[in-house]
Amino acid sequence: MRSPLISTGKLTLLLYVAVMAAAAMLFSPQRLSTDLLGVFPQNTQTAQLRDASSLQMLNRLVVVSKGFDTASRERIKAIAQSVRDVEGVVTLNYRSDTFDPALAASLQSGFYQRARLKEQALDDVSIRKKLEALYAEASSSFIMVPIDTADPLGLFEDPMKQLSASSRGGYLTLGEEGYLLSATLDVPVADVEGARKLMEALQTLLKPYGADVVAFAPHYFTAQNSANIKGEVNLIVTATLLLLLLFYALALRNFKVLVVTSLALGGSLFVGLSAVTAWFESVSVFTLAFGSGIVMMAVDYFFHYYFHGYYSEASSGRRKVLFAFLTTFTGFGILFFADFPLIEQLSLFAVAALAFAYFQFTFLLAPMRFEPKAERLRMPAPAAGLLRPRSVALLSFGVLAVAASQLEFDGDLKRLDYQNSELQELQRYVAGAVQKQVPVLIYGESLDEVVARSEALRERYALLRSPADLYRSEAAYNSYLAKLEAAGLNGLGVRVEAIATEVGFRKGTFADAYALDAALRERQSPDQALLSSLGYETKKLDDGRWMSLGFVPFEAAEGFDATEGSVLLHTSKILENSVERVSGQLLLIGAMTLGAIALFFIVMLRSDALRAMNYILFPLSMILLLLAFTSPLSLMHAFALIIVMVAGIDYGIYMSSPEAQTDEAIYYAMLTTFSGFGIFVFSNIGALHHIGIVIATGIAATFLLQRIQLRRG
Amino acid sequence: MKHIIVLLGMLSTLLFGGEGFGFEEQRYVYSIDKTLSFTGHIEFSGEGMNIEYTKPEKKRIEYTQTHLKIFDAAGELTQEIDLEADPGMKLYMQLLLWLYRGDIEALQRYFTVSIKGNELHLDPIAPTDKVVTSVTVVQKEGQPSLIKTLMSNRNEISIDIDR
Repeated sequence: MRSPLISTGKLTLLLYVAVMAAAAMLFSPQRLSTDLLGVFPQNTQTAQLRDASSLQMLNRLVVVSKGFDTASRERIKAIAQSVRDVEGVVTLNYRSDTFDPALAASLQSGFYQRARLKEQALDDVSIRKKLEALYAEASSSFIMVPIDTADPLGLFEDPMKQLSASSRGGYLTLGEEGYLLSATLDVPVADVEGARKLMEALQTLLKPYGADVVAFAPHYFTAQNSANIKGEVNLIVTATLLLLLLFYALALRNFKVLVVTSLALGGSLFVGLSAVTAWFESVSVFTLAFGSGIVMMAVDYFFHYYFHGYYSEASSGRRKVLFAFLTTFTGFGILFFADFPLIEQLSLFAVAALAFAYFQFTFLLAPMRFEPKAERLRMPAPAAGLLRPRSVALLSFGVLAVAASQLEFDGDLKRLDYQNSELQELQRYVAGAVQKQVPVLIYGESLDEVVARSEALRERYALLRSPADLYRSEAAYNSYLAKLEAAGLNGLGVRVEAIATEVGFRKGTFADAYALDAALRERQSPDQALLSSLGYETKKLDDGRWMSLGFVPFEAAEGFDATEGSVLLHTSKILENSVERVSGQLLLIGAMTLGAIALFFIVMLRSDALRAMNYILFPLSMILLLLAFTSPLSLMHAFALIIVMVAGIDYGIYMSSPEAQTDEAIYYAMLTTFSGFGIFVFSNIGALHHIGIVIATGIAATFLLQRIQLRRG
Repeated sequence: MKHIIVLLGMLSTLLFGGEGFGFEEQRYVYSIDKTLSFTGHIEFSGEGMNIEYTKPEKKRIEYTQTHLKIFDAAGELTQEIDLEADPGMKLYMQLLLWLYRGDIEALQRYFTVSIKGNELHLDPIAPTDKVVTSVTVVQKEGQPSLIKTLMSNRNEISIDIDR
């Protein structure tokens, strides 16, 4: 028989080099993005959150000088002078009596356009009574009595009155805390470097004031958390390396294994990353995080071969690893069709990375002589088990049912960030006193439609602050004119003047009362600049629509049910809705994936299929049970579950008919996983902690299952 | 400008140096064509102000920057006014405080400040002119003796300082 032109070993090496070269060419690191919203389904809900993040009103700097004494007032004045020069500060306000004459004139000229008419009797007797009371007060009061000669009966109310900020002596105040300074910033909240510079500049500037002054901007989270995260990630990486060294050098006593598996897994990670960055315009860093977890699961391919003597040629069987790989590959292949960016990216990543890992462990490393050391630390032999696979499956389904009934999804992205309790406390202090309102976004094809929608919302939520405080839609304006006419406003001024003269007022005092013709001749169209300058930030979106910012008080926000074209800016609820929109499709694809896995198990493992399936079901049920009673399910929990399921497929196949070496292979695979991801459970970064808790629980549940499920072989 | 600051400094010291001052107030209310007379004493405390009226009856008015509280002769609170709802009153009370503090910066936000002979004139800048027409502080024998405020609704308030 003629020998081949090129040996299998050289061919696999050539293939390895070719794949790595292609990956190097395709890799586009600039496509990696930290945009949290990018991982969610791209629909109306996520678009609304993007719109909100572009609003300056919601990303302000707030400085509070504690107390209301002269020293506190002088502090806020001095701070205002220096904050003005900080890079990134656009506008600044600390006085309540700062008025722009043009703005004041606009507000004054639009008074009767926006005013609300109060219901009250307008017969001569009632008018006389009111004017007599006014006369008596003006004749005897110790304080000056304001007489509104345009509206002496007080028929009109200004909806803009509720806008006036809390103040003392012309200075803005924060509740009962002290004087307040508020500034708009042109530094994007997500800009780490810009946020750091801003925070440092402010800290330097405010340091001399000590505890008398507190400052907060959402940028502080970006600046502080990025530094904290960096520090914590360094700590985690060090801990991971130490643990791996401990396991491989002290327990396994084979340092070469650590080097080879690290290189193989690193190569797989790179191939997976190249595939997703080549395919997708923007790739979430979460794909990298979860992808690393999935890739690390492939280490069990190695350990299965290693302990079963595949590398020492004691055994040539690689059927189970092939089954495990094909099942996982098919599962991710199906998940790729989910309408959820993170799932799509993760699926492609997993398919590419696992295929390359399988290739390396099965073919590239095959000629290498790896043999478990005889003097390695032996793991205790597992017990024979207690429960039949059917009982374990029933138990798992029961627990899953209980967990599913209790489990809630929580889309609050803040839970995924670094848990900076000091800053969170500061944010609560500032927000609690200053932001007693929850923002509402109101959309429309035109500014008039924004106003009309604001009116519709105000019908249901009387305390809503919106562009409808300032303008009326065409329909509302016509109905307002009709209401004025029906109330008898025509000719009212003449009657008031006549009665007032009889009462004793100087003749002509009310000659101009209720002369509304000029003020109401033509309806004022909404003005974007005026709305924005009064706090109803308004902008035209890229798609041509308009968006305005409104507010509802906290107490009304709880039951707020947004109508079409409006949304309460409650980030977690919006994201929950965003996920809910695709939940039907996700459930279908999830069920198809589980069905395909079950089918693979039945075809490949036949009577052992249920025993193997329990390695997915049991850890899943235990994790969900824990979460159901401790913490709502976050996006990170959900994706870490996928990692656990990937491991479950492999362990299930290996444990369907366990041999003596199988347990040991799984122990080492689990220890490796724990070193890499389980230790995240100790992290203060929400996202990492969530991944860690799921993986650590999954490992514990698998460890338990190995002991309680009756084994064969 | 220097002269104005110096004069304001002097005024604030002379006017309000110490605990406060006694006054006689003549208030002409244009719309009812009547002049009301009051006598009393003003005291400043930190960021607030107390006005004790003795004639025509005993009353006390407490200014707290955000509110005016009116107490009767027995010391019972009879009325509380939110100054946000009465910009004219708010501005007038603040004006007295700014004069007391010699706060040129605050005054110049609302008025053009000038000196004519022995008088300090405050001419309102829009939109203050919707509330106040003019303010004049008159000195007599080197001491401030009268604060005269003409309101845009044609009311006039003259505070004769009794030192």
